[in-house]
Amino acid sequence: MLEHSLSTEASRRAIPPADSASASTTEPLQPDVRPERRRGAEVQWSAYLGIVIFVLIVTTFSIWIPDLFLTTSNWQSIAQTGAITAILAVGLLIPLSAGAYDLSCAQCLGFTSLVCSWLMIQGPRLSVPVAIAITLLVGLVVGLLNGFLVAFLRLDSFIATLGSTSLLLAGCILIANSEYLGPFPSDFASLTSGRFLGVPTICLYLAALGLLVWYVLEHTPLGRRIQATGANAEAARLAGLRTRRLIFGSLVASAVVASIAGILYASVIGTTNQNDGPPYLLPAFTAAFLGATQLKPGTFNVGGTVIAVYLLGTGVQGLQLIGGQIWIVTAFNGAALLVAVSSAQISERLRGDQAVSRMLRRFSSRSEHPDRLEA
Amino acid sequence: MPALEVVGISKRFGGQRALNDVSFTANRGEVHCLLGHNGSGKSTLIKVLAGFHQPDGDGRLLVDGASVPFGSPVEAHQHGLRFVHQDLALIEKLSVTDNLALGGTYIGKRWLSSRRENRGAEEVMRRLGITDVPVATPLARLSASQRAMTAIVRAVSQGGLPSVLVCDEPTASLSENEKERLFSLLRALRDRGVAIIYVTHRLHEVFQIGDHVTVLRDGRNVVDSLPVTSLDHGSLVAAILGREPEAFYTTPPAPSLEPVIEVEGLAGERVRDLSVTVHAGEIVGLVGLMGSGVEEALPLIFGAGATTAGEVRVRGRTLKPGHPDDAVDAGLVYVPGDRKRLGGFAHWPLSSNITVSSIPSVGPMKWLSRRRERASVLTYLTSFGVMPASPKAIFSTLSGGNQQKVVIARTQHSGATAVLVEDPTAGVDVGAKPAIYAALARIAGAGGAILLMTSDYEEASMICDRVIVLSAGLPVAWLSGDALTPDSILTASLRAHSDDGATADA
Ligand SMILES: Nc1ncnc2c1ncn2[C@@H]1O[C@H](COP(=O)(O)OP(=O)(O)OP(=O)(O)O)[C@@H](O)[C@H]1O
Ligand SMILES: [Mg+2]
Repeated sequence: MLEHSLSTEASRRAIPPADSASASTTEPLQPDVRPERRRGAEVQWSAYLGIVIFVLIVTTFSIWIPDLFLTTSNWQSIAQTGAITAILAVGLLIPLSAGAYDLSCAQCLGFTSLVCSWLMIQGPRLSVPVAIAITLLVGLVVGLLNGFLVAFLRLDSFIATLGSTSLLLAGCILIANSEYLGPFPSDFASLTSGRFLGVPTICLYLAALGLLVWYVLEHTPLGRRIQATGANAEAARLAGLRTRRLIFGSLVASAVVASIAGILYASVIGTTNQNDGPPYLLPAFTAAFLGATQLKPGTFNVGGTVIAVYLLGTGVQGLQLIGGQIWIVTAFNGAALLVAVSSAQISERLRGDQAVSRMLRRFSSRSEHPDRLEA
Repeated sequence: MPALEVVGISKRFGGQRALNDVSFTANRGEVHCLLGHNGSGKSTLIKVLAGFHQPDGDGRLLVDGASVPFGSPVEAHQHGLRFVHQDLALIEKLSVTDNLALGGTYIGKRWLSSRRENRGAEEVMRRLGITDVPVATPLARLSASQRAMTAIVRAVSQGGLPSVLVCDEPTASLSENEKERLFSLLRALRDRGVAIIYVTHRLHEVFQIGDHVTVLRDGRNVVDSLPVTSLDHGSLVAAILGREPEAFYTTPPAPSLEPVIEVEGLAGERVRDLSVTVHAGEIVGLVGLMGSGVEEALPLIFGAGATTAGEVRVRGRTLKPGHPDDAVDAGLVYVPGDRKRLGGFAHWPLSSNITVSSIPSVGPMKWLSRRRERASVLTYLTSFGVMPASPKAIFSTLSGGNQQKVVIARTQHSGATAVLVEDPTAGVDVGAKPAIYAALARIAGAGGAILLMTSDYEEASMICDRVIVLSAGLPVAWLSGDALTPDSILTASLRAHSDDGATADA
């Protein structure tokens, strides 16, 4: 019923200068050349604050306690302690970039380290490769569960992963029953023992995983799509992105990375226990958010996260060496995060840009504010 | 004594001069139109008046002769300045009632009764002649036009009658008769002595409602408070663009009978039974008044709405309802009217905003080279006249009209041949509209199909081959050929509307 005379209308396409059309379709409107924004003088100093503070910390302790701080064993200890947190945090970046929390990542680390231990030395006493393979599958299942809850049942990721954290904790208690599991077969321990060019082996795992996540998240279309989902899920959906699948996949990825971290953790520490996971939760999140103020402000990024982990790790180690009490160490972690985030916001305000503030706003209040300062 | 006096205001962003020594005056009881191309500094000027931006140097701002300090929204408000900003500045998650109350206050002081508050809000709306905005509904679920109404009502209903009301493109998404309601409201305010500063890109509105005109070009005022009667359309365009307007033609494509977008018996919340076929080479318009279901039509076709019945095919392939990604796979893209909320990635650079539907990569490892990406979008930025034409510029720092151009450029970049587009030139200046029409015509000319929802009837009659008028969720009029004029569209939609009122509602 709609097929009206097509041919007569074809000539309508001639557009008269009605609302005053002009034909400058190929040249920009203004002839004057305007300088590009965000260059030269506008470099955001706070994006490199982490590196500066890192250098400051190292210098301070090197002068203060050179014979304790400037030793190979100290550096190796810092590198090794930080690596597990960094691996976990790097995995966590994936769902965070997609706009979803994975609160269960630390508990997933704890749970998978117990599962792996149990498979090797208590339950079926499987060989190391088989135990590792099964553990990774378990991590995959945890991720599938999270993904299912968030992407398909559409639960809020905060709530869904809080729930799965509790389930995983229950699993941990069931397996460990308040006991330590260990020691492990020597070929399991050798996964992470030894060094390569003086660097603890575990750091190589971090390097490999970090590179992989960096590549995918920051330099492939897939990563861009994940970030689009996190930046504006509805706009991403209307642009044709499979946002639910991306969120699902990102939660699976973070759980699998957490289970890798769990296996490495068991191998490094040598025993496992039901309380192992939770202490990693805050450091991992702190590193991810602090990292998002570094290098590429406003974007969760691998480089910034790794810097953040080692910045915090070095500071903590130094404080412990000078005999700092536990509370000083904890306060240091909190203060570092607050300083990083507030300096990023202040420097943004000075530049009139809002990348970090927006990212945080997306994650903190979870309600929209009128953005009055934008056109 | 003028109600508003702006003297010598300048503002830079980084190296860029957004305002350069701007001065003008507006009197009580007049509508003062503020015009200018995209990025000419209109919104920036308004934000300076509102106290959001601190101007550089020593400009002055006087309201009713009293000097208003810069940089303080509270002072601006106390001096009787009220604003409807281009992005409306409403809170999406809250209801209309709450949004109105946030500007002023709730009726209840200790105990909030939603019923009483909602009734109060309805009353405020009704006094301004607005009856079809559901006050208890969260803003996010309302159409762009209903949101615009809410913003305007909020501005004029807080704390007595303002001295100056500033409206930054309030009609960008309103159709003719909704606009008429807004105009009568503005006229009523004007007659009660309010000075109204009115920003628009639709120049015929200037002659409908304006008394005086000020034009900005590249941050400078080139026309300072001239009476409308001394100007005509051509001289306005020349003032805005700084050059003579030129005619714009495209070659009409060969007519074809190959169907590209086929919609059959589609129904959703408001749309009841919509069937449309768009053939290769065609641009088909979809118009209707607010509430006719026209706002819902394109998302529904795209699979982004709640489809209750019907089917959509693109080049013979049936789309899965509820799956925009399936539509995109089939070669259909959608440019939402609400580009601020649904179109752009605010803190991303322009390059990523343009490529997001079809992200380029190199080699089997899918390496995404930012340098290449930026190079690939340059031609789109220049062909649409985006200002600044820099791929690295951050989306949110662009002027409203330039943001629109970027989102439309994405359609071209994705190479889509079937396009659903809502109000493609809302907020776009007269110099840049042809670029957007040309882009649409190019897609159609290359065998593509375009279904266009527009509230600008002049635009509809100008670029569409056929126009379908919707009312109460049903297509009620089909216009084409010589029968297709802005007036015939308006008449058809109004008639359909009143028929509807007589039969369905009563
Ligand atoms: N926060 C900001 N940072 C950098 N540049 C900005 C910022 N806000 C505005 N600009 C620039 O200032 C210029 C003027 O922008 P403005 O929004 O005032 O234009 P406008 O006249 O309102 O245009 P439109 O009709 O498209 O809304 C533009 O070139 C814009 O890119
Ligand atoms: Mg503007």
